[in-house]
Amino acid sequence: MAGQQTRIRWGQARFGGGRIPAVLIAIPGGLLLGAAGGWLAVGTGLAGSNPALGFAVFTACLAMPAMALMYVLVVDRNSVEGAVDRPEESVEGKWYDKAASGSFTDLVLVLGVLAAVAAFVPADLAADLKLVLPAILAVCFASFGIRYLLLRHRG
Amino acid sequence: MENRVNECRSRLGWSQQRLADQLGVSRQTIISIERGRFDPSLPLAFRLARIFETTLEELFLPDGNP
Repeated sequence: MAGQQTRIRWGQARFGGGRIPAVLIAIPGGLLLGAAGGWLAVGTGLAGSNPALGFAVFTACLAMPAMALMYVLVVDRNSVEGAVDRPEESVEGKWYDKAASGSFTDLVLVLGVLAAVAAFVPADLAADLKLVLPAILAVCFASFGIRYLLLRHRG
Repeated sequence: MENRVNECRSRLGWSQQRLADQLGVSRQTIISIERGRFDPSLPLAFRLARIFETTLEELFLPDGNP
């Protein structure tokens, strides 16, 4: 059963009653979000002694993930080239579910072990949350990615 | 669960991609079903049976019961 709607490489998004390529919303939207982050960094003094440079650095670092976030939020997945009509019945959906549930178990395990270890760490050796949270996020990404790739490899 | 999807598809002379397009699923799904590594959902199994003009009982065989 072929899909009725047009499918393009990066998919489309609903906009003003019609449809436009999703990247036309994601790129400017991501740039705006990145600039807002840069402006916030300058406003809160995080940008350092050179506000212009700080703004540029924060904007540049935040723009790409913001564009990715905007894209994920606005794209209609059925309009992406190669999409299937019933993704929920495809084997990839099963791999995704299994990888997600497995990575959740990994996350609970890692956090549990870390909490137990932290109980024995002296109070003056406090970890910086700005490092811990991205590290936990990286563990989640790695766990999910490795599990998904293994499932795909097994077919 | 064993199945006769590969046999039925070959009889029709269809490629895996053509069958996948007819069912609205990915080609990898057909590959996994034919290898017995993925048990399709009930609606998908019924659509397979309809395409091959057969019944579920003839298309899918429980493990150990040929």
